[in-house]
Amino acid sequence: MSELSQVPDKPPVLDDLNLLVQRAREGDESVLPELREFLDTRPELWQHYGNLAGHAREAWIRLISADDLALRESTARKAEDLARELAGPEPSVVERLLAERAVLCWLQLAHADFLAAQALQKTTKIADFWAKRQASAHRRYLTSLGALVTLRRLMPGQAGGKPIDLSNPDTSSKNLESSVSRPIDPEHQLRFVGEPM
Amino acid sequence: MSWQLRDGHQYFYLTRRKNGSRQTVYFGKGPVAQLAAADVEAAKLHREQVRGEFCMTRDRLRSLDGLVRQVDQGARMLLEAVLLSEGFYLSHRQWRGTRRVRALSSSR
Repeated sequence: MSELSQVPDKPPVLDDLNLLVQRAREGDESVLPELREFLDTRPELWQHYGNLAGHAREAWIRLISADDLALRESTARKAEDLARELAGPEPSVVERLLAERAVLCWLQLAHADFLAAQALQKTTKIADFWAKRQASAHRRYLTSLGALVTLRRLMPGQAGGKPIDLSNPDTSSKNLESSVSRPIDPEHQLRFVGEPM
Repeated sequence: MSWQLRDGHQYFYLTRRKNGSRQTVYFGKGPVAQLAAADVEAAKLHREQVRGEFCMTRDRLRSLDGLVRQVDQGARMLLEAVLLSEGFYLSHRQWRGTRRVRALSSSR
């Protein structure tokens, strides 16, 4: 497939990172300084996933918009806005990656939502397939947002986004509302090819 | 069941499932039979077309889902690496840290 032909190759440092993470998971505290240094001095690690996420985002936007260039542009802008909003004003590299992952999950969910609605007019088997896909995309999207919340809760100093105050239900829900469940502006709402304006 | 040869002539039969049992409807060999046969053929073609489109979309999605999965796994691993390197640990699927670790992380 064309989407996979340009996927960046896996950098060799990933295997080294896996080994370090494995040792840390087993409770080996002596590995922590090495792991910290590894994360700070291997920009190719973050670049790899950044490139991969960018590539995936573009491929999903192409799938959603097909040949409609106006829709492609507006979807790309909407995805960019969401990524910026989720990452916050001065995002760290890990925060940027988590925001990028959430945007990918959002694109996947939007696509699944649309096709699940369309599939209601088709056979039960096809409708079931899209309904399951929609449910798993929704779960993945919530998990990706949860990861961002975890990072900001545990490391508010390092995460560039607004820290979430979990002790105050009002502000903590507002933090999520601002990015997730805000009312959708019809001007910027994602539209699919063939769908009436 | 479709066209069947009986005594040297082709007759059209249509089998449907009704209330759990099979029911065969006889259409004969005249214009009604031709129309029913054409209708069955068109429905079959439509089903094949829908199935073909569905398989094509599913195959294309498989490669795109693979990309999302790679980013997903990478982000999860890097988040885990960052949190472990700061002294946090995973307990019952919840990230925890000692008071000292939490204070250090928030002051950075």
